[in-house]
Amino acid sequence: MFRNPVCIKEMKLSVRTKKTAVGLFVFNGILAALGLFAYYIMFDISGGTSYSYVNLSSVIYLYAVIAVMEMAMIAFVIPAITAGSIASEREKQTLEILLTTRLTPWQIVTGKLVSSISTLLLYIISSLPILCIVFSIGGVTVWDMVQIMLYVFVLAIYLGSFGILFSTIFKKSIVATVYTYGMLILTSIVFYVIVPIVYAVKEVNADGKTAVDVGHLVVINLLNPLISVLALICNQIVTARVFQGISLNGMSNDFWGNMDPGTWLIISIIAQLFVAFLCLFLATKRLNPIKKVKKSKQA
Amino acid sequence: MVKIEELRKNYGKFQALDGMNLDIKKGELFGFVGPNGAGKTTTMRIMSGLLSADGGTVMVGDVNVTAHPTKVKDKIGYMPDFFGVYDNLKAIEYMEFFASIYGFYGKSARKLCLEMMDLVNLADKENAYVDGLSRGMKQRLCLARCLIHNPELLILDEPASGLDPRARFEMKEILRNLSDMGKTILISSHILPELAEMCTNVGIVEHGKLVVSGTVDEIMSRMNSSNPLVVKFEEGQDETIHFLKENPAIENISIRSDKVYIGFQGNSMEEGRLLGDMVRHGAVISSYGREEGNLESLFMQITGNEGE
Repeated sequence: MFRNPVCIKEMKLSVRTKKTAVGLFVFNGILAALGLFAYYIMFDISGGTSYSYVNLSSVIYLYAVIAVMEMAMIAFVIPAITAGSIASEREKQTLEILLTTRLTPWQIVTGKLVSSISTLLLYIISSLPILCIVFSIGGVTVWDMVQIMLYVFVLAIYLGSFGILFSTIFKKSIVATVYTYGMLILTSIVFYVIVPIVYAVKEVNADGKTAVDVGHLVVINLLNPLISVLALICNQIVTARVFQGISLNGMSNDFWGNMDPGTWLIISIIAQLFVAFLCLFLATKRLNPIKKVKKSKQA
Repeated sequence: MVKIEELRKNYGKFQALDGMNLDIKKGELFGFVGPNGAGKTTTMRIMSGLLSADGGTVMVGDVNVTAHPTKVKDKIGYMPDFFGVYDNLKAIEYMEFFASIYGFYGKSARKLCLEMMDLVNLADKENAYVDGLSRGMKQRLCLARCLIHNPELLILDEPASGLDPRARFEMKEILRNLSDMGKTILISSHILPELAEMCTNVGIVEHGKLVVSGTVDEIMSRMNSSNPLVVKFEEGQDETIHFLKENPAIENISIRSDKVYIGFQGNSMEEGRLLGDMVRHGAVISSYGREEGNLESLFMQITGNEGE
């Protein structure tokens, strides 16, 4: 993949712009500020000022806070990096030239995605010292951190594929970026609130004899990156019951509602990678200048 | 090298190509001329595999482009009517990027890129950033990029568009050199005289059809045969005009300055007979012949005065 000419060119171009350096500075600056603030608050509510002891078992939640913040910021950065990738080629009028070369649309699409992911790796690696704040308290293993990194990788492919797809659909980078953020909001917030809304409606209409249940609706949250992050963290530091509560999966009484966070995470990663592949496939189709060659023309 | 037969393309209700036929031999420098919207770019985009045709066939060498558009990519070098460059890359990096697409890496790629840049007189600009190059240099860099995989056919869409006279001259010289090297080149423009200077053959396209093609001289002589006869009378002009108006073969007569323009369709034998009739009728004539067309008027005549 790193022999992909588009990927190499994009990586070269991205490190030459001030945008990347400024982005890294702002990203780590915000993460560090929020991390240190959370560190202070956690110690404070754990009894640091009110009592003569600190409850270290509750300070473990600092890890959860920093991990979720990092994920949220990465999720915020991905659309900005990927959504303009193909559209910018179109704006620079270089896309048509690439399509007349030996490059296939799939190579262009994957080259763009991999270069975007490599830029994200810069963000992730540079933020490791901040994440390591949690090691000062203990209770978190290196493997826990590696799992976080691996999910960030999946998240980058998942959200990045939306960015790439919209980038092939819309001619302007700004429109593609707006739509990609729209997908982020749809999958992480709208999907999350749909479940309690449906639950509330069913509860209002309930006869009081049978338990209210949203059924298979919670399945949509397999595509919710926020729930996946919660599943990952809950699997590491709390119980399945807590996960079912905060993910709202507990509103379903079926198989999905009782699923443990580890299993949920694995299924959601498979679902998200499948959607990502589908988006990349559609992006490739969109990029192909000859959409369909009729059989009659091949004669 | 290129054979286009009955090529058709519609954009909605607009018919961009209406049975285009074109034949370009190997090694030709073929000028594709027509007013804006005549179908030049559409034809070139179909030839390059960027657009599907609604009908007809395009053969580039032994590849049927309409059936297998991806197979033509190794055979052609396509230069659109815009630069298409990456501003944050150096000229040599831009070239190496395209070299890597065709499987050239490392030192061999660098050597090849420098050779191509030398061919377009940009050897001294290898470390210059693309955004610092002049318009003409960017255009030549794009041409060098087209040559990197040694294509058999170069498709150049208005390569001299927007260039100053010096840059145009340099571009023409480079294209002549490439033609001498045996490359088949298809080059489009909406300015006929610009192409007439360097092209071995020219095709004039109008409303999605090839109206006429051949060498510039052939086209000129063919078109001149439909030009009016221009006569300069020394004596007997009015009487002769009156006499000519009774001749059913005369379509129209007009007088401009001291010359009379006679609309007459006929071969050289009939032209001679008409001259004899006028002389017998008492006219003294100091000059007689078909109006000589220039390239501009020829182009306007063929394209129905719609060209620029």
